[in-house]
Formats: sequence, C-alpha cells, structure tokens
Amino acid sequence: MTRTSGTSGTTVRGTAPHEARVALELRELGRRYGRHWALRNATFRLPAGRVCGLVGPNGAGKTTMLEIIAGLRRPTRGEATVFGAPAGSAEARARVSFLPQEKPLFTRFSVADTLRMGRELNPGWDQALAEDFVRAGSVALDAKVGSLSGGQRTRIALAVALGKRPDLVLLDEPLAELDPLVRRQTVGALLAEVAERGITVLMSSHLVAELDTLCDYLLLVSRGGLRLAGDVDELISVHRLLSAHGDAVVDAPDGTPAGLEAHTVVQAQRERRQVSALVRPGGPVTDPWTAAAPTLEEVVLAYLEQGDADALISPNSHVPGTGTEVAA
Amino acid sequence: MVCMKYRIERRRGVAAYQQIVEQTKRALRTGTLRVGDRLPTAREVAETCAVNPNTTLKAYRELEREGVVELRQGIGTFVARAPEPFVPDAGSTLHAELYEWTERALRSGMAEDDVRELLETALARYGDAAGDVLVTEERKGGPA
Amino acid sequence: MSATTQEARRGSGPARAPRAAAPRRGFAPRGMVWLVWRQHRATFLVMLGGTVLATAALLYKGVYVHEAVAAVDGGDPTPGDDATVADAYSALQAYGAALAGLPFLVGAFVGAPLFAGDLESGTAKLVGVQSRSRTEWVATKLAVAALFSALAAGAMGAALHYYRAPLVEHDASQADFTLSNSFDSTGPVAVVLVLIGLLVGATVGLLFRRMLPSMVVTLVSLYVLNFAWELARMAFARLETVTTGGGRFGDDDRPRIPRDAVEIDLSYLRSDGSLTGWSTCVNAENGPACLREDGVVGWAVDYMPYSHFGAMQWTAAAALTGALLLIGVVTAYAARRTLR
Repeated sequence: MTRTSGTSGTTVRGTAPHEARVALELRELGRRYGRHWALRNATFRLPAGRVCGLVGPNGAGKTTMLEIIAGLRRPTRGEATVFGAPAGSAEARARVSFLPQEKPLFTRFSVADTLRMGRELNPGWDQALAEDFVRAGSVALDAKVGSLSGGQRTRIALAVALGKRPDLVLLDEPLAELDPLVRRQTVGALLAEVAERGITVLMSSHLVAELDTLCDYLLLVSRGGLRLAGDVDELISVHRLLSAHGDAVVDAPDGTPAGLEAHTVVQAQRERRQVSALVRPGGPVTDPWTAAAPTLEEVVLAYLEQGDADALISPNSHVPGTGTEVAA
Repeated sequence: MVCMKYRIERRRGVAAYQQIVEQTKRALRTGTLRVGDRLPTAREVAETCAVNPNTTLKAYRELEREGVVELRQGIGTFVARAPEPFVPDAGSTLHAELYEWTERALRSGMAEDDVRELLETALARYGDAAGDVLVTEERKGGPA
Repeated sequence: MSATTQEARRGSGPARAPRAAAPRRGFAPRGMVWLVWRQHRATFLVMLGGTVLATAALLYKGVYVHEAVAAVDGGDPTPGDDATVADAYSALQAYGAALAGLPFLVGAFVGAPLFAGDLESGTAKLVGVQSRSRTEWVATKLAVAALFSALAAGAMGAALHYYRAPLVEHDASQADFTLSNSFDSTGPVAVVLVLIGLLVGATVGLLFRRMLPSMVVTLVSLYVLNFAWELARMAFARLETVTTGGGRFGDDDRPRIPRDAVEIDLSYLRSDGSLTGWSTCVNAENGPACLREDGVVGWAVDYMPYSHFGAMQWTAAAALTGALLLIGVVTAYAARRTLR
C-alpha cells in the first residue's frame, strides 16, 4: 500500500502507474573494493512514496549502496534501477537526490550561491521551494556557508537536494551530529516535502530507535546481505517476542530452547533465569512461553545478532524472478 | 481548524498510526475536537510534529473506516461523528472491578509500573491466545 | 487520494512553480561554467591579474629596450642606452626563468587542487549528484582552467618575445633562445607546456585525492618530465653549418656566424669531411701538430639563426601536443577510476 496507489489514480509526476509504484529496484547488487566485498547480493524493491530506513552495522555497505543508487559508483555486480532507469543514467540522476553523510557544501559560497549552483545544474530546479526551505530555518541567503552551524548546513544541503525536485531522496545518516531540536525541525521539514510531493525517501541510520517512528518501511543489511525488507508495521506484526522462566525450558541438543518447534526462531538467548526468543510464529504459543509484540528495535537487533537467520523479504519488496524468501 | 498535536512514542505493540487514531479519539472524547472540525493535513502534521505523512494518512484511513472522520475530496478530513464510547460509564461493574483490583495490587506492594506491566502482559497474552498470532495474512492496512 | 494532501498541494501549488530566471545582460557564465568560475574565481582572477601586470610591465620595459638597442645599433648611444641594453640581457635571463617556471606553478596550484580539493572536501559528491554528468564537470573544469592557463602563458610569452627580439638581433650570444628559460617561455611551446603542467596536476589530483600530496607529486612529476624535455628539445632545431678549410683551425680562424644566431656546436673538420670534437689534442704538447696529424683541416660550427626559431617552436609544440594528448588519456582513465 503506497500513497500513490491510494490516491484515486493520481500518480507521481504523471508516470505510468505500474512504473510509479516501484521507486527503486536492486538486483543482486554487489560492490567489491579490492578483495573485500563492501556490499553483496542486495535484491529488493522499494515501493514509491515510502519513507524507508536503511539499517545495518558499520561496514555493511549502506553508504556503498546509496552511492551506487545515486550514480556516484558503479556496482561490481548486479544492477540498480531508479523508476525503471539504470542508476547513474542521465534520467535516473535527474530524479534522485543524495545527501552524503558529511553533507558536503562549498564553504566559500554564500547560501544564495549554493542555491544558484542547484539552479545552474538542474533543469527541474525549484528556486522558490529551495528558498522557502532555507528561510524556514531562519538562515540568511547572503550568509557564508562556512560560517553556518551543523544544523543550518544540513538544512542548506537538504534545500539543494529538495530544490532539484527529485522523486527519490537518498540520505546517509542525515540526523547524526544534530541536536534534538534541529533534528526534529529537519525531520519535520523533510516529511512535509514527502507529504507535499509524494517523494520516496531512503535514509540510512545506525540508530534504529530513531527510525521506528520516522519510517514506514525498513531495509536491514548485514555483511551477509539483505536481512529484512518490508513495511514497518508488518515486520513487527509477523514477529513475537516470547519469554519464559529459565527453569521451565530445557535447551534442545542444538542449543535452542525447547517448545519453539512450531515457530521460526530468529534469535534466542538465555540470561540468568530468563529465556527469550524472537520468533516468526507458526502456530499457537504454548506454555510456558508468554508472547508480546516486539518493538522494531528488538526485531532489528535480533536479525543483526543472528546473522544467519533467514532473510524476510515482504512481497511488495520482492523482486520477481529472484530466489529470496517471501514472508507470509 | 483545531490545532492537533500528535505525539508518537515508542510503545510496545502499538503501531505509530494506531497512536494517532487513539489520540484523535481521545481528543474527541475530551472535547478538544468536535464534529465538523477539520483534521490537520498530513503535511501540517509532518511539519509541526515530525510525523511520517504515510502514518498520518494510514491513521486517517483507519478513522474513516470506523466512520469517525470523512474525507472530502480536495477540502480536507473532517470529523463526522464521535467515536463509539468504549470506556464504560463510571459506576459500571467493569469500572468498579478494575478500581478494586488496582487498589489491591498497589496495596500488595507493587509499584505503578509493575501494575501497568502486568496489565499489558495480560492484554498481550489474551491477544495471542485468541489466535491473533497469525495476523500476518490479514496485513493490516494492506491494499484495500 | 486523501483530501488532506490534495488540499495541501493545491494550497501551495502556484508558489511552487519554478521561478523564471531573471533576464541576463551581456556575457554571463551559465551552468557548469558558472560553477567552475564561482568555485575557482579567486585562482583565475589571480592568474588574470598577474598576467595583465606582467604583460604590461614587459611591454613597457620592452619599448625602452627597443629604443636603446636601436640607438646602440645606430652608433649614437647615450651612456644610458648602453646601460639599458646591458641590464636588459641579464633581466631577460631572469624573466625567462620565471616564465619557464609557469607550468610548475600552474600544475601545483591550479591543476593539483582542481579535483583533489573537491575530492578532499567531498564537494565532488555534491556536484556528482546534480543532474549534469561527471564527464561534463571534469571537461568544464579542465577547459576553463586551460583557457586561463593558456591565456597567461600566451600573453606573457608574447610580451617576453617582444622584449627579447631586439636583444637577440643585437647579439644572440648573450640571449640564447634555444635554452629552457627562453625557448620554453615564449610562443606555442610555452602554451602547450603550461597545459601539460595543468593536466599533470589535475591527473595527479584525481589519483591521489588529497591536495597537499598531489601538489608535491605534481612538482616531482613535472621535474622529471622537464628533465626529459631538456634532453629532447634540440631534436626539433634545424641547424646551419659553416666551415673553414685549408688548415685554418687556429683560435682566430673560427668561422663567423650571424650575430642573431646561436652557436650550438663547435668541431674540427677533417679533410675527409668527418668531424672531431673541439677538445681533440687539447692536452697535446704541440696542439697544431697533433691536429694536423689527425687530419684536421679547419673548423665546423653548427648554429641556429633566429629565423629558424619559429619553425622550431611549431614543430616542438606539435610534438608536445602529442605528449599532452597521451597525458589526457591518463587523465580520462584517472577520472573514470576515481569518480565512479
């Protein structure tokens, strides 16, 4: 369910509905630096109109993935398409904005110069949008970029990214190093644009807690590749956090606690007298286990800690013709 | 338009959109919102409360499904009627029993948090026992 | 669609229309050229200012040199004219040496930071994610920097050429136009050499990605290339030879060369037409006897008249352009490797 499909036939920027539904598609995408694979075998679809979180441990290839989609890097293997156009092609580049983690700007430019750069280099530039966005953060247009605070610089960088009128915005750790107030303002401003124009957002973060109220879609990558992909509410609802008193549960010979045979166990751990397990339920929960709904953070951490758990790719992010498991 | 301030918190088992649904209904019960009022647009909610517009729209669709609000094309989302009261009137048996139980629990030396946790565990357990375990297929909020 | 968002879109719709660009008067850079100009304008303005000042100063001084040399040649010089001419010869060496250093200066301070600066600060990514292609970015940066570099080398080289001309015609032996500080600092060769400096700097910057190391490596690379060029330069000269015969090989018998020509090589000539080095028999007790025994019958002098200077400039410039293109291939490879 995307905002696009729910909007009585109106689609993003007049593109054909079937095309507009998929903002991004990766097929077996991989990138190697020397002998080290920074990213391997990433396959998924991102429906248009979503605010998607990209989480994973450091070194899992989040930045590499974003840079490939933005057209800054070539993949070693596989392919990425943005609204049907190959990443890095002129068509794809015109529809994608990317805000790197370091939020690079020309420090000797004024804010007005920075916006002019956007205007000079992008045919679809929206000067009014960019200027409004800057003014809303009470940044003067004639201020030198080098004299701005981190939060103000983020706003300018975001103004350039949004003034391009992209359909897909890629953000690499956008909220790191921002104080809570600026973070809230920045998020609010970004989400307002999402509401206004139905753009798709893909943002990486290593702070899962930060994402679960912000994003409605989630991708989890680890060194092994893609672990989770799907609607946040859905990812939570297909999991249960089971717990039991340690004395009441014996471990099976393979080390997993007994009584969970009916479920797919993502991760189980024994701490003192408490045994807990994150599972994808396959039947009723039996004594002595009690079940609770997990938080997104608990789901994500379980998949991160148990790197070999089966990947869970929800149907709307499944790429047809690839062999990943589909949930439900 | 009434200025609604939504506040999304990280709460176990309560999705963000459900929190907006709850908060809207609470505002209706307390009289902050009245029938005929326009709810803020997804953009306004996003800007003032940093809430994902998809979440807001999902909540509004849920409220519309329940008949609480009405989407008027091109004008806005309006409160159509007050939600069904699901809190029993003060003085009802359920009410009295809960007060009595709470008092007993607190007297037994439990902290407020323990009481709350116990209640939530009970709710969660009831939900699972009732076969709600396999909500996967239902896919709340999936394509209508 | 939800009425809420539709309304929001309608509400601010008109204000969101892209604002029409203000009409511009006269020449104004646009697009990528504007960005390159805005980013590097301090560098380019310094280059432009330095070029204008140096060119004006050389032309101004050149006028006096022309007048003084004319007076000396006319046989009616004032003491001041003699002094002016004498000073001009030593000044020519200094100006030429300074101008011959231009490729190094441009390589290290314009070429090396051209991309390394953006790669170091991350702005290469900022530009890389706009709608224009990376190729256009690289090409525009190189083209604009090349324009200013060529302008600087061309203008200052032409001014130095004007300053040097009367001095060469008066006495080329004091103003050797085949040496680095004269040949490499004027004409098309000066322009191609400065472009090589720029391109080497840019390429090193692309490969090393950081400013300071790039500047150092650029200087070292240019030093090596310059050394190779020192060895190759005379291969492009077309020389004239003048000989004496009949046993006239005494020190006073050396053949005369035109006064606007530079002596390149001096040898003894044998009767069979072969040459032997001027140091032959230099340690013999009886030099002339030794030489006669060796079959030496006279002197042979290779020289280059100033009239051949233009031809040598163009052939050398053509060969250097070949080298420039080869470096360009490396630049393209480096850009491809670094930027994607």
